[in-house]
Amino acid sequence: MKRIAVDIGGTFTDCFVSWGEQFIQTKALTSHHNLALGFNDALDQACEILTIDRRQLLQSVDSVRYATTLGTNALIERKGPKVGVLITTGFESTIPISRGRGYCDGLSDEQARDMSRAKRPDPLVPISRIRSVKQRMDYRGKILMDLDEADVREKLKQLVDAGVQALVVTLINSVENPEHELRIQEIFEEEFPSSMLGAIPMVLSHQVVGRKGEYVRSSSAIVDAFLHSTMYFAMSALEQNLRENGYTRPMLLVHNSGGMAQLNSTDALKTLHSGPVAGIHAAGQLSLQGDIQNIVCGDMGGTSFDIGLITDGGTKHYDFNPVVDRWRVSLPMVHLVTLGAGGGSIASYDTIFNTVRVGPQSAGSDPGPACYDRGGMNPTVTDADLLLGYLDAENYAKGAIPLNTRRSYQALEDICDEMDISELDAALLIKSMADSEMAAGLVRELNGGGYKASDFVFLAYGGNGPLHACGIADKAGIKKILAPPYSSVFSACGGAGLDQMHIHEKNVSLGFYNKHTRALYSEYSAFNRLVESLEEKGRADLLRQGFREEDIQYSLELDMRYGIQKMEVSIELENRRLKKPQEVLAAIEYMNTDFAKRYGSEIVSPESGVWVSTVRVVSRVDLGTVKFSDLRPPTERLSPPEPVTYRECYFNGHSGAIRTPIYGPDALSKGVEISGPAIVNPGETTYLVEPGWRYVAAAQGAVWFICENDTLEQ
Amino acid sequence: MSTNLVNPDTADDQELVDRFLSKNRAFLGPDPAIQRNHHVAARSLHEEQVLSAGVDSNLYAEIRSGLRAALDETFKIAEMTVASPAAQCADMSTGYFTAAGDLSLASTRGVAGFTVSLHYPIRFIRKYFEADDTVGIHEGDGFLLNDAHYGGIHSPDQHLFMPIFHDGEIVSWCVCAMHEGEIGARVPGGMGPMIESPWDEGLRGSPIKMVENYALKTDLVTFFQNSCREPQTMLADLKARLAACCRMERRGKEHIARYGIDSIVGFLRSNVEFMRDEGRRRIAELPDGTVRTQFYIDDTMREPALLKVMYCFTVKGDKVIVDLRGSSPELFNRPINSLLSTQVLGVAITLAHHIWPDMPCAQAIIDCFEFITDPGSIADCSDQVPVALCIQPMFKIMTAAELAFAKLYFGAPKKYGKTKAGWFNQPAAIIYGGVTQHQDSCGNMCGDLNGMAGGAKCDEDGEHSIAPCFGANVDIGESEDAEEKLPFIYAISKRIWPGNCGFGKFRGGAAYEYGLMRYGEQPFGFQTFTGGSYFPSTFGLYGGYACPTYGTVRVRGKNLFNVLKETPELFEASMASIMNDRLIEGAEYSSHSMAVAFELYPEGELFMTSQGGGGGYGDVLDRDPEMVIKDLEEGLIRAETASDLYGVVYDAETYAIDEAETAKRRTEILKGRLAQGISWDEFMATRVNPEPPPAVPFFGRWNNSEELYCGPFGKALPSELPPIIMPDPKDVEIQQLKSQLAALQTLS
Repeated sequence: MKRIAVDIGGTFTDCFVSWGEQFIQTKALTSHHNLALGFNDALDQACEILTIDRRQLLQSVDSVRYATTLGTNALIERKGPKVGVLITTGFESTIPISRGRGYCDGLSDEQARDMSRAKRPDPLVPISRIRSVKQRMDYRGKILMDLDEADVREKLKQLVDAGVQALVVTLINSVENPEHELRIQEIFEEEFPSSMLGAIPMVLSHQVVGRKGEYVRSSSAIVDAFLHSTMYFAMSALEQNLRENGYTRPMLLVHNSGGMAQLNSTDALKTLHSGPVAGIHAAGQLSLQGDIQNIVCGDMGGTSFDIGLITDGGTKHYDFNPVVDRWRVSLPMVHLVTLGAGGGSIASYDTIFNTVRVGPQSAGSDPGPACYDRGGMNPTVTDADLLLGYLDAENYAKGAIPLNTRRSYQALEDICDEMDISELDAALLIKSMADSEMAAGLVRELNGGGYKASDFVFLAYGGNGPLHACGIADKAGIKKILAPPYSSVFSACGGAGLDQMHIHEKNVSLGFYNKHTRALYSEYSAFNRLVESLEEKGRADLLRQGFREEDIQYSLELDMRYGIQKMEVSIELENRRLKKPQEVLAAIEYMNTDFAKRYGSEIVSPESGVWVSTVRVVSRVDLGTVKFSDLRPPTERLSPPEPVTYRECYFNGHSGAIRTPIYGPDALSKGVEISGPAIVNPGETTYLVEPGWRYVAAAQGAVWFICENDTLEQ
Repeated sequence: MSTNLVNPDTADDQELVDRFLSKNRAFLGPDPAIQRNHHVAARSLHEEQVLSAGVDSNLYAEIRSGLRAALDETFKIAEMTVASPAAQCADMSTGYFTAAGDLSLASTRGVAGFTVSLHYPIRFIRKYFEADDTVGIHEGDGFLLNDAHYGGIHSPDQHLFMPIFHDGEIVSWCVCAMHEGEIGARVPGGMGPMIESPWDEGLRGSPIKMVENYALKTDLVTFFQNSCREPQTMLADLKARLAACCRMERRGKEHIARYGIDSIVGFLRSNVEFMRDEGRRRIAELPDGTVRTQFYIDDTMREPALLKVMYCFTVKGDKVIVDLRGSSPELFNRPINSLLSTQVLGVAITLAHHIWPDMPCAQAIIDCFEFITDPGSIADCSDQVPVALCIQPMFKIMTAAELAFAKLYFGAPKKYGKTKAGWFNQPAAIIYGGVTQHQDSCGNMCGDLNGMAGGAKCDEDGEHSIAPCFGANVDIGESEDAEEKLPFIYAISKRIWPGNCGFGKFRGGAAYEYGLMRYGEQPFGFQTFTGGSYFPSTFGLYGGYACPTYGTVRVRGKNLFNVLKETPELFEASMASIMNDRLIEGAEYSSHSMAVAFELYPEGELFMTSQGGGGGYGDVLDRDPEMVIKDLEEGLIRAETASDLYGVVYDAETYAIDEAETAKRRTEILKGRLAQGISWDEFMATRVNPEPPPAVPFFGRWNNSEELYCGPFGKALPSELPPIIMPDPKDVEIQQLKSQLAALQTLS
């Protein structure tokens, strides 16, 4: 398999090239003014290793896949067109009110509960660019008030005159009956033909989201419209760059659903968080190929700690109302939880409980931790790590950032004064608190899903992942940690293994068990027609992109809930068609089992009725994946190489300094086994082996950390 | 239990008497010794043993992190699995308590206020049931409570308590508390104007053992289901609470196994003491002084009235005295009385959410507060009166505390929260009841109540309908979801209307109106129970305006769906347009105060109401003219407000500001104000009346009178208040009609 996958981040463009049996990872600085430059730079590094030229490489690969934070950054920086909205009369304030709680979306719990400073983010669509139109559908799609077309034309004119550059139409219950949204599109085309210069794109809410919930559907359509032109131009420029360099196939974009598609089959909304999601996909591949049943991913960077789950040998978990930047949207996105905890998280004295608090504020990369010596005055987790001896002040980030220990000491003075403790004790406390917070986040995710932390392997990556992995795992009760191969470009690596995939769903209200009539669902034909129509949409998407019909695979998912509860459980219906009561009963039973596992058997309530609220079809074409080597801890062990040096390090639970060996790149050789305490620093990543843990190097640069009282077997 | 009723000669005799009395108690009613004490309990022997050996605050921080994760996990379980619409919008909380019942840790999300007032029932259970062979407290037990006289806020809330045992000893309690809504009261949803006695409030659940061996007792569950309009919701929510408690108990035990029992007991207690001590320290930081505020509840819920609620906060050293004397007498047959415990809770919630937002919400943070009241008043009512809408006076003390501490912190060197004007403070919700399109019986409310507007801040405008004054990060919900389940459509869905915010240099957040149109032929109806139609609900700060008044309106007698279909030009989705234009021939238009009793509505009738805005901050003439114009463009104010009140001169077509003319007009307004000014003596002589106006039904202290005015029932000293029994408005109306008839007959 010859393939290129790229993850364009805010700072670096990561590149992973699969070249037959050879895997190459490279990095280049992201060139924000023209993403192609950074991409070409990363590609040229790979070419140098392969001793071929760029054109040769691009002509040889079966695909080029992009995951990008471009959309996320555009949202954060509010770089986008002026969006206007048409909404049903009476609902003009739906978007600015944002369900009230919208002000908390994207904030930490601590920030959210401070009502004295409660403040919504600057809107993507201000009130002055929202207009209502007279029309109304009921909850089943019956027209209660006809569309007032004169009103529509007038409001469209007002918005265009106000200078809007993109339009969103979001009508109540349009997912049940899109007639009025479609008619508005026709009217718009009549009034402002798309053939004209200055044509304005129009996004219809029902085409972006198939579910009910007027606020989340509206915000999804707005985010989509806001990002559309930015993403289109940037991605088109990238595609053009590929063409100029000899690549003839369609460029593929990674979706946050865990699949990918061509540019012309991609909503901008689906590209958000695609990088981290690709990382979780890579974890899924590790799970499948390495026979690791359950993985909890922890990507610890400078400002955040992203958590994802892989269970039952490769199953990804989804959110249906995720938050992107500060906006709650409606789309099926791979479940990803972000905590405000990273190397740059600021530590402060907690006056209430007489201890140290870590985060959620972060020093970020500018000014960064105090030890960066760039003006940061607050103590951070990285400062603590430095004082505890874990980091090499001279060679941090391959020597790119010299660390100033004195600054770290100074930054800790306030905490030390308040608590009357030494700087080292304060540093140990910061390390412990940071690890505790991240462990609590992991445990919350696992327990909330009905899982036990001890049944999971902690996949630790990101710049600070392997440094804090043992501390986090200790507090979470996890016994095994895997620092994955290609960890510095892990998300790009994940992109290389994705399938071409499209998800289509429809909001429904199907009583699989109606408690009033005490009858099971029996309208099989209607149900099967609906499934067929969703499959047809997926098929059309994939055929348009040149795939053969016989290569398309479908899976059918149902979102189910009890009676009048809010919680929905997604189940997969293997047969994809209903023919008899047993299949309905099997779905209910599956739901009961899943519910009991997640929330406890006390809560299983089929007697209150069982309803299907969404029918979803995933259509995919398997394009092959990256084959990892056998990553299990090797049975043949090697003695540790000679340490490069020793340092005085401090660890929680151990009084005084411990003379700790520091190992270089040769410790990554397959089979090397080292007992903690130890530090392995091959250059890009620091692996901290805490007391009570063993380090075992596996194939392809992967590293296991095994708790001393646990076995190595999976 | 000792008593002063007898005076035996010996200790043995005393014991005999006590035993007799304890065994021959006619009714285990609410215990004043528990209910009137919000302070932290004394350390238990175990707690003393652990903590006297030293406090490891860093270990406790790790435990706190773990237990909070457990609370957040269980909160999520409950939120996702409950059926009560309010709880689905996060109107709930989970928490861990000490063995004695002090709240140690509450979930991050939701309405922490629920758990803040639950030390009372835990103490009751321990005092009266632990040694009672017929009840007892065992591992796997769960106690349900909904009667506010034993703790909590009001009867529509239901809470489940579960003890956590270790080696046969109760070491903690865990609680899942939430707004249930329907509890079989006289009106749907457990709250409403027509609740006129405690016996109209539906189920009056004193602490009752609902769970044994981690399972709900089917006979009791059936009784509860049989006693309310939403049996399915009742069952689902009991299950959800039980699942949450079981999970909390398990996590608690896992923490005991990991850290040891002494660490957990020490943590739970020290957490309470940390909060208590920090609250005291923060009060000590403030300068000594007194801030007085008075509010008026302008409706008894059946008739207009002015019910005074007095608040006087005095800081002295590290203590705060809250003096509520002078407040209206309690009303025997109206639901807006509040218990003292509810007022205490209101202060704690305000401090935690608005004044000290970095502090956890717990009763310990106001351990240094003392309350002085007139027993038998609306702020400290007896057990004989209904309290279903005690949130009316409770929300008033919340705003009173919010504004009092804004002033007390005026010169303080360190502020924890941002200074701001009053948050909107009324339960402006439409409660519905009847039969749904899915044939379910129901009585509850949607999340619309949660869209209260924020007060203006000291440096920026307040936020439009954002969160209830009592809880952060609470959901309003989606109208499409509500329409899927309930037989109405949102003819107006949460639409901000002009002028509905407190004006000022920084304006308060604006608030929405909404209107429900009955859809379908099932029997189904609405009610509201809010104040603020005559007297502003919340106040501004430092010259900012109060929240404007608002009302409930109805369009009846016509099926408006026919209008939507056949003559849509006659319908505008705006309360003002509908009521001002009255275009639909044959329809009955009526406007009301915000308290409208429950009635059934046929298909196509329209019921509309509104939330109120947040208070303004600072002088309106200091508002940046550009911000005034932006408000105008966004439909938050009317043109007259911009020009007459804010004094902004602008071009009506282009909105271009004429700065020179604006400055001139503002100067004229200032001069006009000065011209209206009078001396203090003149003010006292001309503006202060010795008695309340006779036409106004006034309740409470007037000026500095020692007596309390009792509306039409004269006045009396607080210790001699008569029972105030308001007449049924229908009887009043019948009497008036009879009088008119008699007059006509006389004439004829």
